[in-house]
Amino acid sequence: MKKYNLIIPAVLLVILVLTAFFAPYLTLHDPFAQDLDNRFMSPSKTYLMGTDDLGRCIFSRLILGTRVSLLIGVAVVSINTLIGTLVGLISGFGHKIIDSIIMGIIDILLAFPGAILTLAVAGILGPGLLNMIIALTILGWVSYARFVRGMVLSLKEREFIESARCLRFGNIHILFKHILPNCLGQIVVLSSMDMAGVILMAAGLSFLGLGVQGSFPEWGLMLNQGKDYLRVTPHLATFPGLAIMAAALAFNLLGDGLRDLLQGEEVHFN
Amino acid sequence: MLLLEFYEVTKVFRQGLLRKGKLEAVKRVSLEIRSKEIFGLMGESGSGKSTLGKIALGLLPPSSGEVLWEGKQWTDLSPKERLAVQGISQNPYGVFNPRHKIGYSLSEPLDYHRLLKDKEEMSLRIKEILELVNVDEDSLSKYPGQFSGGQLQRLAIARVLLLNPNIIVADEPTTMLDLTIQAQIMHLFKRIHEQKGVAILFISHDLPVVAALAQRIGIMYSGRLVEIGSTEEITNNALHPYTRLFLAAAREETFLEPQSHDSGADRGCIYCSICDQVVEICRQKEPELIRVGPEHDVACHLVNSGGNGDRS
Repeated sequence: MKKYNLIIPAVLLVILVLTAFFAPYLTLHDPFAQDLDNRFMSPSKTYLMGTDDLGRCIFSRLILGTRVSLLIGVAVVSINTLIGTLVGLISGFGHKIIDSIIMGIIDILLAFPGAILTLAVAGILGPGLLNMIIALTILGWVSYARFVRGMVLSLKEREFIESARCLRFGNIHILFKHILPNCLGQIVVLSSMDMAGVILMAAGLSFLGLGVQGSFPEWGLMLNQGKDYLRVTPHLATFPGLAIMAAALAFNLLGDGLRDLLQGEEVHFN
Repeated sequence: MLLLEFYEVTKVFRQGLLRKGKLEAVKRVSLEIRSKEIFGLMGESGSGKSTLGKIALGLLPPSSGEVLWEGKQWTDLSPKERLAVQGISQNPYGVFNPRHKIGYSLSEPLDYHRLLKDKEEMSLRIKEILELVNVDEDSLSKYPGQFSGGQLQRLAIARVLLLNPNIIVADEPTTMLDLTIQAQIMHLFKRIHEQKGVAILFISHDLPVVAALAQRIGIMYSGRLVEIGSTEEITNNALHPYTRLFLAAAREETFLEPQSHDSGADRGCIYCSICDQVVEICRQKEPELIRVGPEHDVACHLVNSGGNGDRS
């Protein structure tokens, strides 16, 4: 049963990634071309998902938007994972004093309401792709650091770490060759779950006008532009909304599936 | 030659917010391990024998006292010299990193310390050692989860032997294995001792096993070394009341169940509270190890006062 859990997210992900890769070849129309004669068109054969308030092809814009959403997701999650894991490893494995200092900082950061701080940072930095990535990473790594630290603390007590000490390996070697490989699976699960959150948050920021701006085909931005016409032509906001949902769902399901897979593995090893 | 010397080694663990909780796991233990001998360290659970083992491995620093490895302090040893002291733990299921294949785990220390230059020499050596410990060569491409406890213990011994140690600290290496496997592992220890001439500090509570293997035995009780001597002396001529109790229990003889009674003092002999031969001095002063024979030391006042602890 566990094996099948991964099929749905895998299919969704493959579609998403392939779409992002081949976006320029999949668009039916120029995503930026305005056609004021064909505004608010309902879905049809020429415009699969209809046109928006400026007569742009929604389908083509969604396709290109996949790139933007995945790019933001991958960038933010990679940075979060990298920083969080490193800080967590140092905190969990380092001296008690270092651990206390790092955990103090992390606790302070966690005491902020995350979404509000992200909004504030995005507001201060102003709109733009890079600023959005910075806003999303400023607190994003913290949960990784906490999580990894906890794992390191419990792994440190395991017998194979003591034997590694008996074999006179250095701290760096023990950390990266013995402790990190045992955390990786869990980190991947966390990253996958986080990816869903980041995509949602990025769309949210753009929706509020704090992220990508202008004519850029970003899902959250499209949602924002469509919301004014929700009662007349609901497809303007519906399709971007569905795209956001599909992407977030794919990564959440992936995380769940991977977690189940890992749990099975743990049973096998102990 | 002395491989390992303990002088008045004490290890205190402190617990609690103000570090008031104090546990003396090892107290003023002095002993030495000679080259190429098997030394059996025995005692009940919590007697401090495993703590002493960890100190011997350099994993725990002693709170006070001095430990010398071939005459040198731990801090004066280079990482390569430290490799000469190796350990076998009681839980073979835990000693290998579950993420690495056995082949990697075996070659890792050789790689890390650059002990062998080329890959060919390394695989030859690993092959040789696997033969010695009697494990198939195709184990190298398997993960630790695919082995039984006995096989893992053999592999753990193989990994240690690859480093050519001159002393192995084996902390209850057979406790978690079933009887038939235990016997095989014991034979393996005997064989590597004969072939490699490595000294072994064998920590166990299993008297028949230790008596069969060791040349000398030390008995620990509550962190103190109460009696030490050649295997023959200890098994035939034990003098300390605790050693006698321990031997009687191990031989499944009938013995008087020790009655715990108030020792009346906390500065006397630690065994005072359950000893059935207490005299006044036991409550006053802690006994020191006294030489009673060429290879026999006992920490008991009764021996000193000529009473000799004879039990009718």
